[in-house]
Amino acid sequence: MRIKRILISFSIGLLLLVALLAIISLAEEKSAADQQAVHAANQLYETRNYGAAIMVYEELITQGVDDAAVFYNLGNAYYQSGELGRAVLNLQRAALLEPRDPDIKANLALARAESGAIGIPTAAGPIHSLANLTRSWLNLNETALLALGAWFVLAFTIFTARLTKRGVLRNLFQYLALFILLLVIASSLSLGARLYSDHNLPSGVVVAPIVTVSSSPKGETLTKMQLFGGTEVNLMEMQGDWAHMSLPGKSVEGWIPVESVEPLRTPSPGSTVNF
Amino acid sequence: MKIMKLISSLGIAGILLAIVMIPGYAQIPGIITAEVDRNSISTDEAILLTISIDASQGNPGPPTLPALEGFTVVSTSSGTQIMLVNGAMSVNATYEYWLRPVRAGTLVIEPVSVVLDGQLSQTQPISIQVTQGNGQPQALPAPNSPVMPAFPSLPGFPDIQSLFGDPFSQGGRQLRPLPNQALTSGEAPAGLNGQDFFVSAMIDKLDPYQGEQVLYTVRFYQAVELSQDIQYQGPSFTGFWHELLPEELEYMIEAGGRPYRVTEIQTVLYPSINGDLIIDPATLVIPGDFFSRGQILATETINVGVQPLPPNAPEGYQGAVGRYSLRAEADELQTKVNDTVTLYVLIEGQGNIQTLGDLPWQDLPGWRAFESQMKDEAQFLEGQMNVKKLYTRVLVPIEPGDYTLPVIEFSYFDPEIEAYQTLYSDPIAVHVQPDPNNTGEMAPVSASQTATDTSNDIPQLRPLKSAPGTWKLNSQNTTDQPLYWAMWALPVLIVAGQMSWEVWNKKKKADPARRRSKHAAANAYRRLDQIEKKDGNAAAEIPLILSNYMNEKLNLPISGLTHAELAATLQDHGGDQETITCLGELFMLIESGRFAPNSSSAAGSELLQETRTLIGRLEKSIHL
Repeated sequence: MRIKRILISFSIGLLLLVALLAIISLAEEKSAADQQAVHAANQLYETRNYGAAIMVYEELITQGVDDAAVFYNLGNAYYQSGELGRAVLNLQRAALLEPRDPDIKANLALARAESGAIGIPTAAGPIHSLANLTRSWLNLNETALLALGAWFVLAFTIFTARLTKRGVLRNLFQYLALFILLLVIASSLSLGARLYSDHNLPSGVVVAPIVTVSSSPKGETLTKMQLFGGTEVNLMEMQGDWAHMSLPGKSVEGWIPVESVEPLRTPSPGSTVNF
Repeated sequence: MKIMKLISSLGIAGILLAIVMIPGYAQIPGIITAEVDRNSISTDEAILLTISIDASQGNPGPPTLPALEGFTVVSTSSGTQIMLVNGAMSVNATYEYWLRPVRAGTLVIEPVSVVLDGQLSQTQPISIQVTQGNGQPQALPAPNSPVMPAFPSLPGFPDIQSLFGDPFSQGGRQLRPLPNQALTSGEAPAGLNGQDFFVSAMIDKLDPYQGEQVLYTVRFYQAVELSQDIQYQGPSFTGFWHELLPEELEYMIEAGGRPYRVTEIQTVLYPSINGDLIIDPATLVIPGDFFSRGQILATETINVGVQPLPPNAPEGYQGAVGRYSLRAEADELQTKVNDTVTLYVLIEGQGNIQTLGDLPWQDLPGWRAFESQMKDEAQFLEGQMNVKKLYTRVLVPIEPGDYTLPVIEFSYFDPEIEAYQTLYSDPIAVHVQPDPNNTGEMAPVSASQTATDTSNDIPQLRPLKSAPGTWKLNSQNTTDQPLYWAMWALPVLIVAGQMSWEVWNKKKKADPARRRSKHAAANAYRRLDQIEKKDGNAAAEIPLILSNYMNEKLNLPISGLTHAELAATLQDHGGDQETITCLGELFMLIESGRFAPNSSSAAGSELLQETRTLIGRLEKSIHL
C-alpha cells in the first residue's frame, strides 16, 4: 500500500514537471546560435566598421533572433556610430531580456545619459514599487514561470502530504506547503504588479536624432515640442504615417512620424508593427 | 403718314426697351469696356463694376476711375486673361470693384478711362437706381475670381502654365472681402471704427516682478483679404528676456458693422531688470501695389513698472521666478562597487527656463560623480510657459556600504504669493555591495578622492558579447499565451481530484452495511453463474445464495425466519406483494427440486433463471 502511494505521488509529480517544461519550451524557442555571424560582426565592430557590424546584427534580428547578446552588441554599435536613439532602443531591448546583466545595465545608463533624452521611466506608487522588486533581476517570462512553478510545487507538496500517513513526515510536508504558499503569494503578486506596471512603461523609443511632436496627424498641426533620440515614449496608436505617443506619466501627448520611433518589442519576421 | 409715325414710334420704343432690357451695359469701340452686374439696388447692397481692357497691343496699366460720387469702394481685385486662338494671343485685363451706395436716388458712374500710346479710351456713364434699404448691410457675395482658361497643349513645348505660373497670382495685392466665418464675442478696441486695418498691443501685467512672466499680445484687425504677407516687426524689448511664440491665434469679431479677422501675435517676456521699462511700438507693414500705397501700422508704447524681488532670498537662489516642483530618483537602489547609478532630477513648472541653471550638487564621500547633463523642454499652454528640465548625473560608488544621496535643493520666487519657496528632494538610500570580481574598468579610488571628475573620465562602453551556445527565437511573453493561464488550473484539478477520491473512500469505509447492500446482487449473480458453470446442485445452493443476498441487502439475519416472517420483513423494506409471491413460489420449486428423485440439469437451469429474475425484481423494490 505504501509503495502504491509513493508511485501515485511520483507519477503526479512527473506530470506536473512535464507540464512545466512544456510551458518553458513554449516560451523560449531556441536554436543553435550562428557563432560565425556574430564573430564576424564583432570583428567588424572591433575594426571600427560599425555600419557593417550593424547590418549583420540587424540581419540576425530580422531572421527572428531575439537574444540579449545580439541586441546588446547592436546597441553598442549604434552608440559608437553616434545613433544614440537606436543605441538606447537596442540596449533597452537587451535589458528587458536579461535584466541581471551588469554590462547591459551600465551601457544602457551610459547611452541614456549621452542622449540626454527627457523622461524618467521609473513610475511611482505601491504597485510599481512591488513590480520593481523583481524587475532588476527577473524578466517578465522568468517572473511568470517562477509564479507558476511555485504553484505547481505547492500542489505537489499538498498532494504528497495528503498521501502521507500522519506523523513527522506529514507534518514536515505541511510546513513545507505553508512556506511554498507564501512563495506563491509573493511571486503571484509580483507577476500581477509586473503585468500592470509594464503597461505603463514606455513601449517605444525615439530613434530620430530630433523629432517634432505635433498636435494632430493631419495638415493643420501645431508644434508642441521637440524630443531627442533615445526618449522613451508610450506608443498608443498609429494613423497612416503618424504615431500617437505620450511621455511616461501621460502628462504630454502628441503625434510624431512613424519612422522616427520604434517599438521596444521586436515584431516577428514578416509581421507588421502594432502598438 | 399715320402708319409711318406709328412705325417710327414703335421703333423708338423698341430701341428704348432694348436699352432697358440689357441692364447696365455700355460700350464704346476701343480697348476698354465697363459693366455692372445690375443697375437697380438698395442702399444695403453692393454692385460689381467690371472694367475689361484689351491689352493685346500693350498694357496700358490700371484704368483711371472717376470720382464715384455716392459710392464707397468696398473691395477691388484684378486679373489677366491670356488666350491663344489659332496661334494668335489675346490678353485681357480685368479690374473688379465692389461699390456700395451711400444714398438712395439715381447715381451715375462717370466714364472710366485708360490711355494707351497717347490715345484716350473711355467708357460710357452708367446709371444706377438706388432705393432706400432697411439699414442692415448684406454680406458681399463670395469673390468671383476670373476663370483662367485652360491653355491648349502645344506639341513639343512645355506647359505654358508651368513656365509662367498662374498669371492671377502675380497681380499684386488683391483686396477681397473676408469669407463668411463664425464671429466670436471678442471685444473691439476703442480705436477700431471701420478701418480696413488696425493694430493694437497690450500686456497682461503692468507691474510684474523681475523675472515674472508677462505676455505681450499684438492684435492685427483686418476687414479685407490680403494676398501678400504682412511684415511684423516686434519691439526691441529692451530690459526683457523675450520669446516670440510660433503659433498665431486667429478669430473673427465684428466692429462698426464690419467683420474683422483678428490675428494675435504673442511674445513671452521676462523682465531682467527692475524699474520703469518701455516697450516700443510694434509695427506691421502692409505692402502696397498698383491699387494703393502700402501702410505701416504701429502700436502704442507701453510702460511697465517692474518690481524688484524681495531682499530675503534664500541661500543658493539663482533667480528662478514662477512656480515649480522637484522630483529626484535613482535608477538603482542596490548596486555594487564600480557599477553606475544614474540620478535623475526633474524640475518642472511655469517660468523662464533660462533661469534654471545647474543644480548645487553636493559631493558624497565614497562616490565618484560625473558632470551632470541637462535637457529641457518648454511648451506654452493656457497662457503659461510650462517648462521641464531634467538633470542627469552619473554616480559611481567606490566603497561598499549604505548611503543616502544628498538632498537636492532648489529655490524660486513665487510671484503669486510674493514669497520665496525652497524645494527639497526626498532622500534616496542606496545600498552598495562589494564588487566580487573587483575587475571594474574604473579603478577604485580612496574614499577621500571625491572630487568631481571631468568629461575625460566618462564611463567607457563595456565590450561586446560573444554569441551564446543557443539563442532565443521570436520569444513571446509567456503571459501572452492562453496555455500558460490554463496551466494554472492543472494543480487545482489534481489536488481537487485527490481530495474527492479521499472523501469517497472515507465515506465508503464509514458505512459497510450500505456497501454490502449495494454489492449484494452482484455477489448473488456471481455465485449463480458459478453454479451454472460447474453444473452444481442448484436446488441445494439457491436457498443459501438467496439467504446471503437478503442478509447483505437488508443487513438482517434471514436464516431461521418462517416464510410469513420473511414476507413481512420484505414488505417492511418496500417489497411488493407480487415479488413476495414469486419468492414463495420459488421456494416451493426449490423444495420440490431438492426432494425430486432425478432432477435434470434443465430444471436446475430454469431454477437459476427464476432466481436471477427474482433478484432483479427484489433489487428494484426493496431497500435497506
